[in-house]
Amino acid sequence: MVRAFPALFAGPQAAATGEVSLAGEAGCFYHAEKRAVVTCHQCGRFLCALCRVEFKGQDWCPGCLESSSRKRKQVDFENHRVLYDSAALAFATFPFLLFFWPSVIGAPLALYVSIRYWKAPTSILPRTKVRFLLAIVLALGQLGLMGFIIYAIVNARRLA
Amino acid sequence: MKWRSGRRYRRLPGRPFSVFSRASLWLGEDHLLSVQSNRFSEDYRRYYLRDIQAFILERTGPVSLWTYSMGALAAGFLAPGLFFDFQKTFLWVMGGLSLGITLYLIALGPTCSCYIQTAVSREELRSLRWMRTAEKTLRIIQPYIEQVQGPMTVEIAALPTEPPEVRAQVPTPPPLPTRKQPDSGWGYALLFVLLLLDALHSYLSFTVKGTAMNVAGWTLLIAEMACVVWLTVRFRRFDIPGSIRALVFAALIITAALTYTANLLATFEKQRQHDFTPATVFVENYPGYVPLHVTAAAADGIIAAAGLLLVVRYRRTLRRPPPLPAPQ
Repeated sequence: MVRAFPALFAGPQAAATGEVSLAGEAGCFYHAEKRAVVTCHQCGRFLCALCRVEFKGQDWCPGCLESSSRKRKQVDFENHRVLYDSAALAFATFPFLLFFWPSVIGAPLALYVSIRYWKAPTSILPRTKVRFLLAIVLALGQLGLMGFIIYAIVNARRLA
Repeated sequence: MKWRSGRRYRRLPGRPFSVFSRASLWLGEDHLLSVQSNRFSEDYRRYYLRDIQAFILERTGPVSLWTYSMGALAAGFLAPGLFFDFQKTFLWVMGGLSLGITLYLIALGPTCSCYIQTAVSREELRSLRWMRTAEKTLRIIQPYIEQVQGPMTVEIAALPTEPPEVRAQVPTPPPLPTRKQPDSGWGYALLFVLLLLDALHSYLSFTVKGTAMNVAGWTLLIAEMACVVWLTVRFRRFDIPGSIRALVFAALIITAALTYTANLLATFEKQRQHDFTPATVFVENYPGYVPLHVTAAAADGIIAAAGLLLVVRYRRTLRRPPPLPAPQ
């Protein structure tokens, strides 16, 4: 089954090239010989039709787009995110569930990741901090249990 | 728009049945967001509503592959449950669960592959695996696309039933991009080495007995299964010759079938001896123990040798430089 939309029948659009500016006309910041048609919404530089990038109903220059993408100012440029909360929860659960002893490494690691990346951006989709909280609670529980076991062993040896 | 305040995206139906990866589709203000996740990170792909040319739904089967696997698992648990006197509760509970999942998967209906087409690409939407879900999703998206692109004309809506000369006017879609990178082959080499060790272990187990051998055997089996699961996840992202892929599936099927048979025979033996302790994994004196282990050792050895040979040949082809273009 194919569900087609009008864009399928729209012919290829001609690429904008920018017109040459005449004497007394404002020129593009990047191409001085081209006529400026808009200003950048971010930095205010004059842009020709070639440099103008329409994004979310605003005109941007290539420099601002690049810098916004690099600094992660615009979520719409991002195509990858690390889910630190899921990683912290995995560190807190899998080592404990597989065999108890790897929790010696897993629990402190879960605590570290939870605290270190508490404010780090997670998914761009709706998501709460519940995984971080759960990881912290589980990690503290495991560390408490380990402490109790060590205390019991030391106490038993002392009594013996 | 029906977004809750502060929410940038609205979730669309579709959640494939997968353990290690997750795919979902979200509707944003002016674009569709396809999300691929491996549980610890997410990759995003945006399709702007003004650029979407078409959705292509291709029916792939009456039910998903998981349905057959879960059905086999249900039969594997329920059939012994009818004959054994002990472990009955466990077998019935596991069988019931597997049967429940099988029925749920059957109820989901026929499966499909859904592709989204723009002027420069045609990509699969992995979250839409069932016809019913895909059609429901398209019904939700359609008004938003029409809002941006304008309503669909009668000619476009009636396109699939039009005669060939009308269909010929439609621009030819771009070919499906091959995005898979070639696999390095090391994961497969690891699996075949594990199988070779398992074969060696099976031969040794006739003469060397003890807890250490048992633990080694089960560790090897768990490592093999983990490796197979990992490789089946890699199938989707990395390219590998079909012969090596077939050997991985053969290893999975043979190992699972032989382990199941061994467990079944051992349980029958325990029942015959009125030994009602739950552990069947260390029983070694059941009838059929020797032929089963000889078969396992031979099968593992053959698959491992063939697999290693194919991986070595595959790695040689990877190192070979690409052929030069033919002279004009």
